[in-house]
Formats: sequence, structure tokens, C-alpha cells
Amino acid sequence: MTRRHVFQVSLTLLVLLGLSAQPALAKPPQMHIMEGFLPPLWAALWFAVALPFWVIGIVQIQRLTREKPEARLLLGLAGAFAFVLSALKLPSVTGSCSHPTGTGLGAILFGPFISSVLGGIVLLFQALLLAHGGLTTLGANAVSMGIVGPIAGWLVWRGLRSRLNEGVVVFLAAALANLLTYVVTSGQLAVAHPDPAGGVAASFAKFGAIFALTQIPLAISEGLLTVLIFRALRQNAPAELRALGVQEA
Amino acid sequence: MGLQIDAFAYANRLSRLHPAYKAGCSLLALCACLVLDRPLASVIVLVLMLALTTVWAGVPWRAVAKLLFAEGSFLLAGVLGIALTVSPSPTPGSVSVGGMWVGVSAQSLAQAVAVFLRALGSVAALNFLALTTPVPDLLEWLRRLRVPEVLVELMGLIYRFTFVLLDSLGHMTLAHEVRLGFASQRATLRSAALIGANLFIQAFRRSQRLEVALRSRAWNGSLRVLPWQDAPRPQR
Amino acid sequence: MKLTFRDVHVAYPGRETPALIGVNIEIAAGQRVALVGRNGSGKSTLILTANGILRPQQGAVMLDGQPVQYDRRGLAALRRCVGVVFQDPDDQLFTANVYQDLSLGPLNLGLSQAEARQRVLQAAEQCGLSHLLDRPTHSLSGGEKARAAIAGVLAMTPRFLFVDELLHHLDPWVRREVLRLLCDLASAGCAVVLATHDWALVRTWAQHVIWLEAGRIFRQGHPSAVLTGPECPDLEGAPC
Repeated sequence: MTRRHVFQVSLTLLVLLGLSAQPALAKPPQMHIMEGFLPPLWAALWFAVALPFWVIGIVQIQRLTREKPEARLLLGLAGAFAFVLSALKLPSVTGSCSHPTGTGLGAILFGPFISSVLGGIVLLFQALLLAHGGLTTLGANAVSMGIVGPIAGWLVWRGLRSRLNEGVVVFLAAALANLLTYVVTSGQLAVAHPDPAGGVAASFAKFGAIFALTQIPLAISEGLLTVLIFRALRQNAPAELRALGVQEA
Repeated sequence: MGLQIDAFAYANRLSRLHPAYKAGCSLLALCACLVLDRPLASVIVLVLMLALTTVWAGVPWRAVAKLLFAEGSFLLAGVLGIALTVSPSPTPGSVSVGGMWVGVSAQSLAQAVAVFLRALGSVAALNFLALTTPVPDLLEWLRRLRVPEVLVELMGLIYRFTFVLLDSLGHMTLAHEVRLGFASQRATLRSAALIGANLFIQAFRRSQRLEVALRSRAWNGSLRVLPWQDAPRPQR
Repeated sequence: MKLTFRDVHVAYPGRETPALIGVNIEIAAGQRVALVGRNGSGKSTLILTANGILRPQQGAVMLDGQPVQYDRRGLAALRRCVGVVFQDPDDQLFTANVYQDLSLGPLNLGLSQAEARQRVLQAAEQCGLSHLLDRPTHSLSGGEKARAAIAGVLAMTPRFLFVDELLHHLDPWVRREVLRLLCDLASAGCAVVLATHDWALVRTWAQHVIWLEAGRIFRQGHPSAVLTGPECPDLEGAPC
């Protein structure tokens, strides 16, 4: 490419970016990696990382539904809940809801393995029904949104619940899950598309900076949202929470 | 809130076609995009899949274009990270940001364009599958591919309950809207939390009511139903 | 065939006041029965008890004079005969399409796939759903969902059909269709028990009324004998 080409293509990209600014601002990029964005090798690698979680999760679900056949209905509704949360109307600065609230609740209720299966299914349906994410990138998205994020949230919840105020713990769990999701996704993009001059580290900084615009406010508001949801649940549905095995702090 | 893509999946000329053909078509195109990884190949796949979706399946081109445009704008933000280069020393046309030089190089730009086109072609291939294939057909196909039964069953339940909960969500959102629940940012956050919590409670209670309803139909623990491909398909 | 409650007491665990107290009823084949009473008077409890979801602490539910056995086999036998249609069809329709949902009951009864398919087609025909069998559940209208919920139970060919306030969300036209379906069923020999708040309907449709108040039978008998006096809310005249 000559200098002139570079200029022309840059200009075209800028114009396209301007054109798309309207919808893009109304709905800031979610942390889904789009279909086709990862080279085959990386796509396969992330599937391989997710696979053990899914296998253990499926075995656990099989055991659970054998012991309690009605549990599959609750699992089904929990998955649907995680999917539907992304359609929740949120303050405009943060755009659409991401996953940690839904999958995080799943992790608290069913543990990280089963919730990784639920997360995988929800991601598949988001690709097929909402055109968010994709099939070849499902593994990578499942690792960042269905495994790492929820596990981080779950660990915070388990580790700090007895030591700190419950509201603070829930906020930390949800916000951290969100931030980790964002860090992992940036990392996944960086290793797949390293910067020609600065390498993976520079690329990580670039993707991180681009997504930071939306993801840091999102992490905070999602943390607040989860706290409020949790508080409402404690007030309005203590019996249900107890039945689900969420004990009093 | 309806799901437009889902509605098209049932109402296109290919909706009755065996899902293996459509999934095969889509996955083949996806692989071509990813493995060949040439801008030309990506553009050919893009055009081909758009043609299949609009001409063969008869999905309105406006809907297809709108979807692709939304996805393209998501992609652009991602591609931005590839187009920009960061280096410790100044390159032609770069600006200094916090001690590093951020700019655009011919190489990075070419790569960005290639990734953009590759992703756009892949997205078009995925859209073809999503817009032409009803989810129950896909699930039946997965079942025959020996995907664990418990997983297929769970997917079916999640798919069905998604629409039930979307309905509830719509009603609750409206109920907050008419009471000025979204009048300010603060109110929006509060409403969102109340709706989210309520939705969760509703989902839980519904799972209990569903259990009762299933038991009343002599349910013995397995959700066995007739295979979907034997269903009568009246011509409309 | 007869379904009998003899001195049935039902209490929910953890609640002080029982939900049904000393209920005696008898429902005969082909009868059109209306179940009325305030919210919380025990209508739904009665329906769940008839189907064996709830087990009486005292008294007995009997099919043709034989007390129901609350083991796997006995409950299957009871549910083969007694079907329930719930208030919200979305609580009952659990598959993504109508065809598969209708097949759940027949397969649970141990029928072969071919027999089950036959039952599904028959029930769909009966409820006017034949053209909707391949439609996704979420695209159905309220009336279609209601009919699908009924068909899911009819596919099990019950002898007693309990319908719990299904009509309330339906517009008068669809309601009429559903009522006609219920009338046809009764003429074909299936007893239909309809829990409802629509007294005008009860007066014209029912052959027998069961009126519950706070878990007890307040009155029962023919509507012309039962639905009289100052206790009837619809006889009070215009509210303003």
C-alpha cells in the first residue's frame, strides 16, 4: 500500500465509523467477540479451554436432574433469565446489560461448572437470535463471560461474604466479574492480533483502552444493579432465596 | 420485545429445509472465510451469503442489511484496535500518547481491513443460518448428532422460557414506564434493579408452577416428547 | 365413572389454617360442574387434590369407590383419568412447539410413539389446532395457547377435566370457542369441572355448582337452587 492508499482507507474507515457512530453509541460494543474475528487456531484453543468446564458441568447437570428431576425447569429458567437480562433497559451511559449479573447469579446458585454450561447455551442463543457474538468465537466468549467472570464473582462471594457487609461483597463480586471479563476479552483479542511493532502487550493496551470507555462504567453500574437486585430479592423473596440455598449472611 | 431474527427463521422460504443443509452451507462458508483468510475470498463469501439469504431464502433485504450494518459497526470498534499501532518511537503520522506513539501504518491498516472483511463475511454466513433455521430444527439435528440429551433438552427449555420471560419483561418495563420509572438515570437504575429482581422471582415461581403442571400430566422425571421431524407440516 | 371426595382435609405444610376442611363431593361422568368461591377459598387446592398433586391428611379421594393409592402406580392411574388445565398456559406449555408439548402426556402414560402421535393428532383436531401443530409456542395468540393447553391434557383422554380459571384473559369470542369445546367434551362423557368467577356463565352452563368458602363447602347443587340469596354478588344490582 502506498501512502495515498493508507490515507484513502483511513478516510473510508473514519467515514464508516462516523456513520455507525449512531447505533454504536446507542449500544456500545458488548464484550462479545464477533464471528470471524479470531483466526481458526485461536478459536479452537479457546474451545479447548472451555471444554473441560462444559464436560464437568454436563456431568453435574446429569447427576442433579437424576436426583431432582424438577431441577431442569429451574436450570432452564435460570438460563432464560440470563439471556433476557441483556434486554433490560439500563441507564444510557452504560448501554446494554452484560452477563455477570445473570451468570453470576447462576454461579452462586448452581456453582461455576453448571453455570458455565448455562453461559455457553445463552451465548449460542445470543449468536443465533440476537446476532451478538458467533459460533467460532463461542469458545472464547464462553471463557471470558461464562467461566472466568462468574468464577471470579463466585470466589469473591464465597470468600468475603462472612467478613464484609453483604452489599459491598455483592458489588465487588459483580464489578470484578465484569472487569475480569473485559480484561480476558482484551487479552484474547491481543494474542490473536498482536501489534506489528509493540507485540501482544501493545495490542492488549489498545484493545483495553478501546473497551475501557464502555466497560468501566458498565462494571460500576452492573455492580450497583446487582446490589439493588440482591437487596430487592432479600426483601421480597427471602423464602425463595432460602429454598435456592442462598443462606443468610 | 419480539426477536426479529427468530420470526424470520420461521417465515422464510427455506424454513422447512433440513437444518443440516443450511448449517452445512453456513459452516462451510465460515470455514472458507477463516481458513482462506484473503480479503477477496471474504468478499465473495459475503456477497454469496447475502444473496442466499435474500434471493434463495427470501428474507427481506432491508432486514438483512440492517442486521449486517449493526454488526459491522460493532466490528469497526474492534478493528480499530488492529488498525492503530503503538510503538516507542515516532512513525510517520503518529501522535504521542503518554510517552508512546500511536499511529496508523500501511501494514496495520491492511490487516485491519482484512480482519474486518473476514469477520463481515463470517457474520453474513452466521446470519444466513440464524435467519433461515428455526431453533427447534437445529436442536433436533444436534440430538441426532449425539449431543448429550440432557444438553439438548436444557437448550429447548431455555429457548422456550426465554420468550415467556421476555413477555414478562415487556409487561414490567411498560408498568415502570407509565409510572415515570425511566425519567432520569437514577430512576432508570432503580427500575432496572426492581425489574431484574422481580423477573428473577417470577422465573423461580414459574419453575415451581411448571413442575406442578408437568406432574399433573403423569410426569415421571424425563421430558420425553415425540421427535420434531415427524410433526405434520400443513402447507400454508 | 365417579370421582368422589369423602371428608377431605388438606393443609399446606407450615400454615395453620387448612386449605380444605371436610369436603364431600361427587362428580359423575359427563357432568358440567362449576367451582366458585372467593380468591383463596380453596378452589385450586381442590383441583390439585383431585389430581393427586396434594394428598389429603384426612379423608379420601376415590375413583369409582376405590381410594386413590399415593404410590407411583396409583398416581399414574389417577392422572390418566383426571386432567388439569392451569390458569396460565405459559405454566403448562414447556416445549418450543405445539406438537411436542401435546405428546408429553401420552408418552408419560407409556404409549408407543405411534399411539402417542395418533393421540396428539386427535387432540389437536378436537381443539382446532391441526393447522398450528408445527408453530412455535411463543407465536401463538392467547386463545390458541389456551386451546393448546387443553389439547395437551385431552391427548391423555381424561374422564375428568379440571379447568382452573382459564377463561379470564380470553376475549368473548375466543371464550365462546373454548366453552363450546368444553361442552362437546361433556357431551362425549368427560366430566368438566370449571373453576370460575363468571356467575352469569355458571348460571347458564353448569349442571352442578360447588361453592367453597374458606375451605369448606358452603353450598352445592343445581345453580337454580344454590345461586340465590343475598350472598350472591351478581344479584346486588348495579354498583353505582
